[in-house]
Amino acid sequence: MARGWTRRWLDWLESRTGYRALVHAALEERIRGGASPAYVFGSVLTFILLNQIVTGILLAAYYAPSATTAWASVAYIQDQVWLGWFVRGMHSAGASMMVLTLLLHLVQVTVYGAYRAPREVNWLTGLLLAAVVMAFALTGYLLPWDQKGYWATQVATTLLGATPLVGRTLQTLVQGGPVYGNLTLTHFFALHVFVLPATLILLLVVHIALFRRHGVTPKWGRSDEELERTADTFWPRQLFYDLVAMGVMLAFMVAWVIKTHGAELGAPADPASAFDARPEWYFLPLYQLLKYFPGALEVVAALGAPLIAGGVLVALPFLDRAATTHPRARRLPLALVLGGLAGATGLGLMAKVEDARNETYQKNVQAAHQEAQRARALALQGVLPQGGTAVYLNDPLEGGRLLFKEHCAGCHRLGPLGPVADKDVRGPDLTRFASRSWLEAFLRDPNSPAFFGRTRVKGMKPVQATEEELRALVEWAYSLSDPPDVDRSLAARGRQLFEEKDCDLCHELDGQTEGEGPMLPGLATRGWLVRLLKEPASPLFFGDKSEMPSFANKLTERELEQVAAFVAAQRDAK
Amino acid sequence: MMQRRTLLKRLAGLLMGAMGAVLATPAVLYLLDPLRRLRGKQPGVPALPVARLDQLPDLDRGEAPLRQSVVARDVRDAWTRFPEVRQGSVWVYRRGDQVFCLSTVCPHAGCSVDYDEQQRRFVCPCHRSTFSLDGKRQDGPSPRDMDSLEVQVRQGQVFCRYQRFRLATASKEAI
Repeated sequence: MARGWTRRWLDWLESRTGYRALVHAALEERIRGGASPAYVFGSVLTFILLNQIVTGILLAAYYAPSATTAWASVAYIQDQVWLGWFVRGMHSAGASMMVLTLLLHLVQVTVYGAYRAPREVNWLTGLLLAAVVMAFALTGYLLPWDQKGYWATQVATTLLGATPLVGRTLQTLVQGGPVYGNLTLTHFFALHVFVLPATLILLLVVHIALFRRHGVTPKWGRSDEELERTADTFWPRQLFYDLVAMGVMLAFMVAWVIKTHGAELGAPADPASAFDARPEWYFLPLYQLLKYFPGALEVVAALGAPLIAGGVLVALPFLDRAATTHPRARRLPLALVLGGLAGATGLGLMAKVEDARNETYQKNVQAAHQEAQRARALALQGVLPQGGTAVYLNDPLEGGRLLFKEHCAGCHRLGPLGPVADKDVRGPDLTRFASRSWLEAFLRDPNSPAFFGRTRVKGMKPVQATEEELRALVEWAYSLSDPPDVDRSLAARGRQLFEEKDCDLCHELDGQTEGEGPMLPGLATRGWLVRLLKEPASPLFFGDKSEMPSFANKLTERELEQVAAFVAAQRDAK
Repeated sequence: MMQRRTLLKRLAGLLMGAMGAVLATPAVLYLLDPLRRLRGKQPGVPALPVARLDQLPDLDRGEAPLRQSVVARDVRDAWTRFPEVRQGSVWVYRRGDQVFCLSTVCPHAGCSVDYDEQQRRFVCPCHRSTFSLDGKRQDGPSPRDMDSLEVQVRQGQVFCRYQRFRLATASKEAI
């Protein structure tokens, strides 16, 4: 049997390491008064920590901390890496569950009186652990470099900067400069993945060692004799309780992450934007508190409230002089902790309620959500090396505008773009190109300086027609780019007039025959524009009189598409 | 009592296994993502523009070859899209009607091959390998001819498929 082989191998390992004593010591821990579901919180916290370590390492395998890469790499994890949304979601949900379980742990310890002598130091290391967890939450929130992380974290560093005497220096050091940038991210990253984990694990080792030294604090009202009689070992019953609690926690997290498709990722951080930032739920009470302290008092509240809360918690074991752990004998400590928690919960709920009633905020949230969707959809094409908000250049209208500015605005005017001096204009004005108003003005006077007047392409005569006929011709020309709001009958009349007015002598409609004037099928559509950009001097367009250069080899297909999309969008521009 | 303990142990083992699987499965798939991305993608070599045909020097008329850098456009690297990435350099020229595009990388040790206008031949400055105007090996340690690249001419534009080849081997193997 394989068991024999395994046993031999384990015996060998035992003789070389003595590991069985270690396992024994871990599992055979004596629990006075027996196992209890009330003791599961510490183990659940350790389990969530394990989840944070695993998912954190996974995230680090795809994340790049710099102002130019942070957002793009997180968007890549969230939307492109296999199950990236799940891994990131588990890390984020784990953070929330960590804080929640920490609070439950705190309540259990308080209610059972486990902070009392001789466990004061253990209680203090627990408080330090809680502080480290909050520092984790704060530093992790910034790392995606999205709008909410960027703006919400500004509040924290600004408050830090308002600390008396050393504030400004501290803030500069933490940020790595007077404002947020690359160093802020590398600093926060170093804290989040090296300093804080090392601190946490060190404190946790002490915390668990002290716990093992003093053992559990059983529920009040049981005699020493009874506790001894019902004593049990950690394995298997307590471990089983712990595992069930972990399983419930894990199932809840997985369900939550699948339901929400992981953690939200906002639009890339944009220092120029206005953003209505809110912290994560566990900082909401503090956020709400700040609303009541105007002006200079705000700093007092922001730094004072956590200091007072922390001070009370630190002092708790020393305040509690009761003879027993019975809650009735410990009204003050219980009132302080539970009252404080209730107050914080109340403040947090108030913040939620106020936001729910605040229409402006709700609108901002909606707008931010849409902006995030747009940015993330554009990020699927890859983000330019500038990173962050450069993702918007993937939008053909935005990218096309920049390309137009660079390659076309030397000759063509378009809205605010183009040559300032009239003499530098060497092509038609493309403001609202192919809209009804543009077409009408063009047909009335094609050789005006706003159209072909400054070019060698002059041959088209102003259309001689009644106002009604002109409207019909405009409608027909307008219909060529297939807009949604065409007056079909008017356009059909225009099509008739096109031949009656002999326009067809120069303008071909089959897209093949070479005529004097440019081909009209698909006029001003993206495809038509791309062809024109590639071969303006083709007989299908302006022929050899054209002074416009070919962009076939100057721009890539993608760039040509973007310029065309930008110009085509002029039709519907306001 | 014993039975109950055994049941607890079994259940505990089952729970641990299940939780481990829930955490480990997505983790493994997540780490395999680069492999998934590779699948179904033919790593073809794109033809990149290097010069205009009418700019090409004709070596048969005594002109010197053109040294051009080959620039790839819109290169994806995970989340980043680089508008331009320099791939390497080529010697590009004509001899009569034939268009040549030779990698500047010396097949011997990877130095950059120069053109010697006096001698009218290609010379590697590192170990003095020399090559004819067609890139054929003449003297020196180079184990093979200069690496020629596939050329296309479209609408007056010369394109070449830039590749790198294994160094110091007699045969030309793309890498």
